[in-house]
Amino acid sequence: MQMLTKFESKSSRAKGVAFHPKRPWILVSLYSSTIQLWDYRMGTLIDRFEEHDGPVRAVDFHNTQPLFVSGGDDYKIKVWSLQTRRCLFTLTGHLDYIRTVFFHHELPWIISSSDDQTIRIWNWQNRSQIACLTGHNHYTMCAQFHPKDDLVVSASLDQTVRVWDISGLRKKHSAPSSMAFEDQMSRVNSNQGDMFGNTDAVVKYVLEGHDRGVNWVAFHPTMPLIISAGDDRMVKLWRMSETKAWEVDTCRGHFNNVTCCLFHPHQDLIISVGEDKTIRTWDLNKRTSVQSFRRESDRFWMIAAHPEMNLFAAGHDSGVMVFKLERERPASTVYQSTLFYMNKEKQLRAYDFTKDSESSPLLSLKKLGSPWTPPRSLSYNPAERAILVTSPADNGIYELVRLPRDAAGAIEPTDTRKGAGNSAVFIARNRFAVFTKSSQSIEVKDLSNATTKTIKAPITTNDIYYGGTGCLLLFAPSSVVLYDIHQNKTLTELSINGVKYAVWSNDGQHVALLGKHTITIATKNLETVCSLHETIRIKSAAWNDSDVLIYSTLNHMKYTLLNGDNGIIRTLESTLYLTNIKGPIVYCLDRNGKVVKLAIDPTEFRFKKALINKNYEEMLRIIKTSNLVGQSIISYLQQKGYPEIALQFVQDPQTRFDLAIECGNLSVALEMAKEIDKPKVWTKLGHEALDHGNHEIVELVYQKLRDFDKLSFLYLVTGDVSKLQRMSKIADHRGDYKAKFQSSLFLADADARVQLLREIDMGALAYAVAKANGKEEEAQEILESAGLTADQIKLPAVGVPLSVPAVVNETFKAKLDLKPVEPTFFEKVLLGQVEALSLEDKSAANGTGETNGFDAFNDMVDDEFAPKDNDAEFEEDGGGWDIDDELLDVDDEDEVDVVQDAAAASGVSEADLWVRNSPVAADHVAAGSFESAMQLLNRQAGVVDFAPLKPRFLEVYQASRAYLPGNEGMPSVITYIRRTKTETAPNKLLPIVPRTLSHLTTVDLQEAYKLVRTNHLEEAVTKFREILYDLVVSAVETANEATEATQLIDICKEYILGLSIELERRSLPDTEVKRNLELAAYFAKAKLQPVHVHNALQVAMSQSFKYKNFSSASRFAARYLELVSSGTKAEQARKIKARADANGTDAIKIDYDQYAEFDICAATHTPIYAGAPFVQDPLTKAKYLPEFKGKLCSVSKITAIGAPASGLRLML
Amino acid sequence: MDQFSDSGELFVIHNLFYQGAYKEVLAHSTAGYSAPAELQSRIYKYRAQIALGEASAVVSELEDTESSAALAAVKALALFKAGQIDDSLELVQELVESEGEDANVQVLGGIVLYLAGKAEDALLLLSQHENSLAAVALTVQIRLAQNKIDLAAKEIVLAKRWGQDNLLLNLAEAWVDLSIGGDKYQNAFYIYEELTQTPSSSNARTFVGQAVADIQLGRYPEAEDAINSALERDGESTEVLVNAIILYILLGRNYSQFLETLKVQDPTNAFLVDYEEKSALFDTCAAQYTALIVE
Repeated sequence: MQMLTKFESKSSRAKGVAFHPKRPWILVSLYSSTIQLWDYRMGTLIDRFEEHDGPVRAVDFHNTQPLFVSGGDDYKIKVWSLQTRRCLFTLTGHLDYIRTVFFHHELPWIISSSDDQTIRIWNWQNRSQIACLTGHNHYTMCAQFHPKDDLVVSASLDQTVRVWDISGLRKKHSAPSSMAFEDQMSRVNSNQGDMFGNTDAVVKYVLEGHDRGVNWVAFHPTMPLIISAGDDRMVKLWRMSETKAWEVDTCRGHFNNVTCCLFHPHQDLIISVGEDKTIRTWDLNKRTSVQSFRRESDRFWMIAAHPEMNLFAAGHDSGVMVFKLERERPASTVYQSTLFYMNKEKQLRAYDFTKDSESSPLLSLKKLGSPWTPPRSLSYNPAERAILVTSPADNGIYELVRLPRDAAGAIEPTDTRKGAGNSAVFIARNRFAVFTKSSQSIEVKDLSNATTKTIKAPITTNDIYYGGTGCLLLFAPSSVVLYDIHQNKTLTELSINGVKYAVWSNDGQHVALLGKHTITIATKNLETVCSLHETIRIKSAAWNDSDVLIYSTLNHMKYTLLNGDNGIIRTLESTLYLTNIKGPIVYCLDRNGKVVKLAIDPTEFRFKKALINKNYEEMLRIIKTSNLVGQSIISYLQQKGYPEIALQFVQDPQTRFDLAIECGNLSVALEMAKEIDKPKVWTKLGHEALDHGNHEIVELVYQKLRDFDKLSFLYLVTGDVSKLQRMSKIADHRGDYKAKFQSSLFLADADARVQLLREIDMGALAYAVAKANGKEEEAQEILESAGLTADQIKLPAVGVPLSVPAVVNETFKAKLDLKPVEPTFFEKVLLGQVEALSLEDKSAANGTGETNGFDAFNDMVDDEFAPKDNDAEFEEDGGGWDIDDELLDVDDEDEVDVVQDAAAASGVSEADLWVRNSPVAADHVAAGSFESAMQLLNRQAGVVDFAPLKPRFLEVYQASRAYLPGNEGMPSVITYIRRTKTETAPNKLLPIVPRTLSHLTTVDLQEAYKLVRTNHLEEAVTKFREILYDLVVSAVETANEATEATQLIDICKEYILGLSIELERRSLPDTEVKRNLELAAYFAKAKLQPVHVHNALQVAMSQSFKYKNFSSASRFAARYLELVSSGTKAEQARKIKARADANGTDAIKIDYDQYAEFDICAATHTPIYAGAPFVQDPLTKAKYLPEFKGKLCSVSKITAIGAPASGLRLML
Repeated sequence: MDQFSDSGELFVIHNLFYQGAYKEVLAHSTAGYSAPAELQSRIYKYRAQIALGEASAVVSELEDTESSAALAAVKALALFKAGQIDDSLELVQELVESEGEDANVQVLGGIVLYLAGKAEDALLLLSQHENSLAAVALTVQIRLAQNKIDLAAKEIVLAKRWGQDNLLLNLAEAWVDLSIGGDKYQNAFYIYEELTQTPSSSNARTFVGQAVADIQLGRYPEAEDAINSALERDGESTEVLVNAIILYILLGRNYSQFLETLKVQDPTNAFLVDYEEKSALFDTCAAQYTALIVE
């Protein structure tokens, strides 16, 4: 058990403390008359209440209402509102100091005890005293309600503890209206009353046993127990029944007055505090001292327990401390997808993230440390299936325990190794390090717990942590050191204060170093990547698979990216310890040692991460698939300089407009400006457009704003004379002479100017203008109208008439973009300009892509085939085939006797074992025993020409042994690669054979099909033959696989034969029509995949039709239509059928009887009708006319037709 | 304390040598070493030089100085590698008779004898060792080559009783584990994984080991990762290339690039030689059937 201080305040003597039931607040009443309200989580003083006169000894929060009560040496009980922070009212009546005040848990009552020897009960709703309990004959130091029953317990300096029955009081106050007068009378007259006739509260028991005054008394929350503390330095435990109460035991140990005591709310513990400056804990069941915590110079006055959480507050001479007595972080460790953790019962459990399942307890470690101390840390060693558990008990101990093979329940381990040390971690497969803080030594131990090496910590270290294989992270007060155990040297040192935990990323490349308020992410070499600060305490962290760190504080779950960008994911109601993240699920442990699964929305950090990595595809996907909106993401994007992306998320026109301006997207800005249509927006757009040189928008803006001057000037600078003229007219229209005048200047239109000036009776100016521009006539006219002559006017020198430069460049027609706005990649994507980023189903895209390359299978058959790459379908088809399923029988004679030279110094090589163990040719090949392998193949499958098998032989041979670097100067150590991975018995060992059956069917066969589809028939034939060769030299495990292999051979045969027929047909000269038609018909008979049969039928149909063999064409068309009933090809087939049926005869008689059973001779490509003699190839089972016996099979090219053979054996 | 132990002077150079970091061995400074340690590091340096193919240089350097048995043993190995096999064997015989207790004579002599085909003599010589892990490792390798896996495993068990948790012993254990198979594959994998993850022993050779362990466990994608890591660290090492080829065969991929590099790097590599032998064997065997071929 340890004391973990969470908060401490400095003040004068604290006499009373109380926890708020929900919020992280405590009330502290001080001897100096102040009441303080603290937030102990943040460590801030929220408020002070100073209305009492003199010391305040008691405070209490109401458990549901926003109220608290206090009592002081001014004899007053004050009830306060937490909302207004004001005293609501004062209850008076006590005649001396008030020692304690408490609210009732459900009734609107307050109980107080006072030095006036009374206990009073008050109703705070009608603010009156409802009972006064007298009987103690000295100060009553403490009085409390029972948490459930109608009981009160009180303690007094008269050395007694009294239990009072207040059920009468409840009856009296709960239903007064329903009680008849008689009832009341009868109650009053009942014989339960005390000597004063008071039946509201009667003494039930008087407990005597303390030798001095009793300072405190408390009920147990659930059991009929009472605990009391007195000036006799004793803590006494009492038990009560319905009828009596008695002393159970005494806890002796305090060596001065015990001031307060209580029952631990959840554990079987008693906690007491005293003037001997100690907090002591006692075992409730054994009444023995568990632990004592001493404070240097402060006497303790009060202790309170949080009603729910594992927290205590103690008031002492110089303030208050909030602490817990045990760590609530369950010891845990994650290995791959398994979480190992200790629950509250000290049982080790495992949780499988992939299966989402929890194991039954693997072990129980009840005996580890002391019963009140949970284990601190856990380290797991997968190689040995062992764990290291540390416990802070006895100044730090560790235990090394091997896990049982199966989770057999909470059994105590039998084989454990223990030792002393504060931390213990596995650092390698067979080594662990134990750190002892007091001696600052790190001991490296092997699994038998023997020390192999002792290292002195290079700096003052608080804790050690795994630092990658063979390395340790040492946490010093102000730095973290990466220390290499092997070389005894510090690799790197990183200065960070107060690191407490380290969390390695899944790939081991990054480590998050957690302090109380900081997280520092570093590389595995301890180079800082980023660091961040939290005001709320950081509790835990875990990495997801893509280097995003998710961490928890006391009340939030947050994330941070490697660049330090962070954000809140969600709030947490209770403290959680994150352990692992799988996609959107976060696995945590709560304080009760239970696994909690929380679903989070990873969109935000995924998006930010994608943004940082410029992974636009991912961003696009996120935008399209999730509704990622919100101010935070927009401001984030803006801040990061991606307004154009932020633009995609915004609906609000004003924001959209601002973003568009920011990223220079004028078209969007214009659109939005139209929508908003406010002068301010237009002005802004105008400025921006002007900057861009986008005069069209500028024009539009000025028009909108009716800013004629600017508009005119714009027309001037862009050289748009016609518009200028219109401006002049508009000015005229508006009667705006100034504008008109300006236009005339811009247009260099002297006549108009003169005209204008005359119109507005500015004769003098008009005259001057006319004169200056050499318009003598007009000048004269003006003079005349003014009734003046030329010599009457004194005109200054007029100079050259104003001229406007001619328009050199008709800018208004051009689109002059000063600021080139290249749409970003992202915008392009959003506009759908980037085709590669099609979000459509990729496979579909591939499919069409491939068919582009498809060459016409035949001039008339040029349609694409549907891509067919599905193994499952292949299987299905296989079922329909006419295959002899009988098991291959193998003669014993196939066993090759390999005589072993047992007497030799060398043992039997593994290769020799393979030869011994297997009758499969491939195994002999792998063993390098080519001769026996060939014998086998010859006998089993009639193989005679081995040359084509050479690459396969050598490949199988090579793949079955690996070369390990050996001792220097020596050759490599050869290790044999087995397919029997789990076997070690020499008679079970077999070599690996590459290109397994599943590889052949899923990869090679599909490649071959693709060649057929793309009309590369010769390559396809070669490929099918390769598959055949690979199959001949291979091995399978099960009978099913053996059947499948036989089917695969058959497929190869059908294709090789079919394609050879088609190839022959294609190579025929045009004159050989009959043969052509025959071959087309035979090809259509081959057992191919349905899609390929379509092709064969189309060929046969079209060829027949072409050469007017209508009857055949009709039949082929009918067969085709059976397979394909819709589509253009089917239409075509229908037409052919219709037209062929109309004629109904064959022009050319061919050797093909659709009704007869026949096979095709693989050599001649002619029919062998049922019943006719034939010979068969032993490997492929291809049929031949009898004269081919002994010749090389034209399908396999390696076997002799008709050779005696026992059948190819691929399985043991 | 054992000189090779974690804290001994020779720990670093010893590890460098057995990890195949020969250039680093040669560059390693031995200044301030005690006399025996200095001699031992010289031997490592000579052996590194031999490993780098400079056997004849070592021979000439040691021509006159036959001050100690250890150096003579190095010379014997250098002679052997330089092709002077008879001289080498003669020298070894001499050393075995006179200086059979010297650890270096045992190991180096053992190598020479084994290479000369005298495995039993080599084992006899090595059996005289007194707690020399190098001798154990060599014994284990010879036992494995003789397919005496049980005896190799026994050596490991015996050595573990007195030996430190040493790189050599770990490697030898991994060889044995990979030869035994079954559950032991995983153990071998853990050994190599630990080595590859430790900064000081993370190199092409250990990654090859990890890859082989992965192959044995049937974990080809992981094996590929390991091989790629090895290739990154040393793309020209024959051991890496050979195992890369094997892995690619198992994965059904084209491996010609590795084969070409291998042919350039080490045309006389055992793997290639073996391939040629088997190729010839195939032709001979296949020839027996040619008479049966009727076109």
